Amino acid sequence: MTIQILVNEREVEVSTGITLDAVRAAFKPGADLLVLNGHVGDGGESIADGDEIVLLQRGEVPDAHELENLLVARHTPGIHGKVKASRVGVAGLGGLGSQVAIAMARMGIGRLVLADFDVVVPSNLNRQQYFVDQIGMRKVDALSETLRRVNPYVAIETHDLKLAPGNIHEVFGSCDVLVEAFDRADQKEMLITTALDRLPDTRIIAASGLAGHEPSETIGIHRISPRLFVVGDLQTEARPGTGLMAPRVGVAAHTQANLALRLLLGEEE
Amino acid sequence: MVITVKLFGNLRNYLPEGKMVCRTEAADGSTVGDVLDHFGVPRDKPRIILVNSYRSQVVHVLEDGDVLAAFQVLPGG
Repeated sequence: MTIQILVNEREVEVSTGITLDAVRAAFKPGADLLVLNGHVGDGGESIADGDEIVLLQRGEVPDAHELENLLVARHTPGIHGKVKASRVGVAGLGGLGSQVAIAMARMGIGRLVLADFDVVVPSNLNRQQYFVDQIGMRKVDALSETLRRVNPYVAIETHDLKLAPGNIHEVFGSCDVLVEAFDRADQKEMLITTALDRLPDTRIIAASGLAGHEPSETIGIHRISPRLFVVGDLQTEARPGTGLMAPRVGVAAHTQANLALRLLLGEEE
Repeated sequence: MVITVKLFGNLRNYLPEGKMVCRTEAADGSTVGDVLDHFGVPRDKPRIILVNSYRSQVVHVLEDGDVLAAFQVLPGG
C-alpha cells in the first residue's frame, strides 16, 4: 500500500507506515532539519497520506533547479514559464523601486533592469528596502546584494546613472514592463514622457499620490491608456506634514508589482 | 466636433460634477489647451497629456472623436 505526500513541494509516492526519518533517507539524506506539516520533527513521526514535508540542510542554498521546482510548484508551470521569460525595468530604487524589485525576484522574474544614481542614507530606512549596514553603498549595489540573497538565479542588470531622455531607451529598451519609481515629480514626468515616446513596445506603470496614511483602498490603478498605468490616489503628494510612510508606500509598490505580473501574464488590458 | 475628456485624480474636479469622463463639444481647430481652458484647468497643472493614447501637448490640434486624457504627476516614491 502506498500514500501520496509532498516532499520539498514535489508530490511523491511512499509506502504506508513510513517514518519521517525514512523519508529523509530516501529523498535528502543530508537533511538536518525536518519539517512536517509546518512543525519541526525529530524523525520518528509516522507519515500519513497528504502530509507535507520539507527537508533542509542548514546553510545550504537551493540550487537553481531546486528553487525553480519550488517556484513551479507554487505558481504552476504556465505562470512560471511566462514570468521567467519576462524582463522588468525599475527606474528608481527608493521606496517603490526597492520593493518592486524584491517582489519580482521572489517570484522568479527572468531579468531585472535596475537604474538609480543614489546612495543609501539613513533617511531612506523609513520605507526603502535597505539595511543599516548598507548605509553609504550605491543603491544599485546594495539592492543587488539583497536580491541575490532572495533569489540568486534572477538575472540582474544594473545601471548606476542618472536617467535622462538620452539614455532611457538604451537602459530599458528590452523591457516588457517599466516601473516608474522616482520620488521627484519632474523626474517622473521625464521618465513617463520619454518612455511613451521612445519605448513603444513597453508598458509603463507609474506612481503618483502615495504619501501619508490614507486608507489602503485609496491606492488605485488608473488606466490612462493601453500601455500607461498610474498607481496611487493621484491626490496625496509628499510634502512637509504629509510624508512618505512605509505601509502606504508598500501598498503602492506591491500594487505596481502585482500589476506588472498581471500584464506579463496577459491578464490586464 | 465632439471630444471625450478624461481627467484623472485632482484634475477631475474641473469636470462637471467631478466626474472623471465627459464628452464635450469644441469648435473645429480647437487645441488641447483650448479644451482644458474651457474647463478651467490651469495650464501649469497637467503634466502628462495623451490624445488617443499618444503623448501630446497643449498646442495639439484636436479632431472630431479624439479622446483627451490628462493627469498630474505628484512627488513621492
